[in-house]
Amino acid sequence: MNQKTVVLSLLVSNHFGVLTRVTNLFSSRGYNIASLSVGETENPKFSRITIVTFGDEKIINQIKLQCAKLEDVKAIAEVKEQELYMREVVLVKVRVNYMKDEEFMRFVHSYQASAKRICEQLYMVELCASTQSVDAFIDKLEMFEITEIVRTGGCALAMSADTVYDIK
Amino acid sequence: MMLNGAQILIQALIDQGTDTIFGYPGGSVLNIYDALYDKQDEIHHVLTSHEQGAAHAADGYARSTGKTGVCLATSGPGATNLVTGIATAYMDSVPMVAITGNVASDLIGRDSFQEVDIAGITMPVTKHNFIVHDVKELAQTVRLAFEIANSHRPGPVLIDIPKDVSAAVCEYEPLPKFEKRPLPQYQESNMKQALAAIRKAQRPLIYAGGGVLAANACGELLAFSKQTQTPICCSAMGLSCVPYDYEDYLGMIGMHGTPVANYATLNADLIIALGARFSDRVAGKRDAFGKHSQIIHIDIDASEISKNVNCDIALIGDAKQILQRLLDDAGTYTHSEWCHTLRDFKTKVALPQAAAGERVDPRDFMVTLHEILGDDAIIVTDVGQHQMIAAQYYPYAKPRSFISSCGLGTMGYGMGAAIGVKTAHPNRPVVLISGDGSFHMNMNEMACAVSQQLPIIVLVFNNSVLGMVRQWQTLFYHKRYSQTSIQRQTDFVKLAEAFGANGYRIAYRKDIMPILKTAIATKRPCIIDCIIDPDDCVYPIIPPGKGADEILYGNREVSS
Repeated sequence: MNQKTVVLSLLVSNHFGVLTRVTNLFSSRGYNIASLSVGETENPKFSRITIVTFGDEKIINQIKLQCAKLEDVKAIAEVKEQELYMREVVLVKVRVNYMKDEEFMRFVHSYQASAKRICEQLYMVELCASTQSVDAFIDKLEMFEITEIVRTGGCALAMSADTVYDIK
Repeated sequence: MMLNGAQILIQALIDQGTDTIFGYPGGSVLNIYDALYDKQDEIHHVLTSHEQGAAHAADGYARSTGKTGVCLATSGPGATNLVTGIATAYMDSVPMVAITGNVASDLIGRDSFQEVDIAGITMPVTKHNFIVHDVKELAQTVRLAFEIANSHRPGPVLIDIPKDVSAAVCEYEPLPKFEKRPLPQYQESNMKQALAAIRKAQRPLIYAGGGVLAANACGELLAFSKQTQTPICCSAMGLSCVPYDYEDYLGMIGMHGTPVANYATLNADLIIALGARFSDRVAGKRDAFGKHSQIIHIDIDASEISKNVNCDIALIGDAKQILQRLLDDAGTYTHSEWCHTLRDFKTKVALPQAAAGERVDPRDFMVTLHEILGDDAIIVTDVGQHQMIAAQYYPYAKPRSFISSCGLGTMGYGMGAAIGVKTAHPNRPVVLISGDGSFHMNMNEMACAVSQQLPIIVLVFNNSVLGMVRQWQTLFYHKRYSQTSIQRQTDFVKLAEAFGANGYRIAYRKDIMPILKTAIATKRPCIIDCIIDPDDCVYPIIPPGKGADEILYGNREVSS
């Protein structure tokens, strides 16, 4: 069957151990996690987990049903591709030859990223964008000297009036 | 009323309907055992020899009654010893609440004496688990644990209680007994499709699993089968949900199932799976199973639908509720030709007959056992060849009379489980059918059966080998018998006597009847050592990963 990548958004109880329960389920049943992010919501009782996963339709369906069985998972939604609004953050430390300072700043601004000088020719670059833009940005940033990178998983919401609370 | 955490726990268990606990004391549960001391009249505590035995006992208690099994153990090794029992219950969807003490909160995370993260360890084998951090949450946590263990698809729930929480005092307000959560509702359009498929079917077949027993739907199942003249086969978990003498009952399906049940799966045009999950022991070749038939899958757990075998129509819900609807709306049908074919097949290609001669064959032993015990007995098994022969040949008459670790296949399950079953049913005969391999694993629980005065009859089918593994070595590993000839010198008769039980030996077929009668009459726990052939293999067998058309009958005579 055809593999597809989907973005799942889970509303879960906000206490410790919940993330472990969700990730345990993925590893014990052999499901894939491409990226994952988690954070509190407007209601301190709940957290929101965004998981990007892939598999054939049968597996994706199993992932949703198995997640829904967890006591701490209150609701689970697959964010539809056409409504997907997903962002992730990347931080990159870049060393820039002083000859290329100007070119570097132009490049950073062309991606609407920002750069702060750490010391001498070392910069902290940050970008919040879609996964594809972040990938492309890092790719091109290779022309300077990257010393380290950290990126979050994507967090996503649907570009529609529906919310996760509408799901039974 | 001000109570400490331990007193609250015991009172909350009583409030949730618990009358029996299986457990073993230790440092982190001293408070709990102290509270139990005052409530001995309300809660019967069964002290096992080992925590694993306590978990299996709670499981056997739950399977044979439908009530929640409760077990209790201390932190660290006490808690880890429960794990196999919890996993066994999880795989077979048995409602269980396991309670563990833990070290005091200020010692957690410091690798303290007898500290383990039991909540972390049991996460993949429980429906849910709790660590109680505040005594004020304890009573509601206990109630919620019972609610989760019993709602929808049942399963085990663990509650971990640090020692300072069981010591802390707070106001206790009794909570009402838990209620099961509302049942999931099937889609009406799917029900319409299912009814149409049942109407159209010429060769329908019911494949019933443990969900029928869990939903107490055995009466409805039989009524539906009669109304629509649909034959029934069972998974191992479903055994005992249909009385053995029902003429359209085909027996067990799958790897060691009856020839007729597997033949029926190949020839049916509609398979109705009811509270069953198409495990690899039923559908070895997932793509081939039911390839020529429509499949209606009825299950309370939506994630079981098309997990292993794709179905055409899904009905998510409780087996009893759905069967009641089917009884109302399915109409009355006859499938005489199909049923006649199957009845005919059943007589022509039966299960292998017992070997002739004076030596003991467990096959006709099962029939003799039933003759002596009658329909009221509950059969508990361990895991291996004896388990499959008990599943194939013993005639089960009443629901919940076959108690066995089917999903996890836990050798050593039986002795603990039999204690739980006998505790719940003191007036019914309880027989553990075991093998010398399985029995060696947890035979220490014989000490518990003696101290609790539980007259359990243990039949050890003794072939001096690990029979099922050896059978696979015979069939699939060129008879390279690696570590399966166990050659122990255990004298089970003397062993029984050492435990304070009665011991007997059956070496010849002629001994079966008199020794069984003597053993039953003494009303004491006993071990009966039954000497059997080490080369005996369980047939038929569908080799792993193969379809029902690749069934092997072995060398034994199959026709009766």
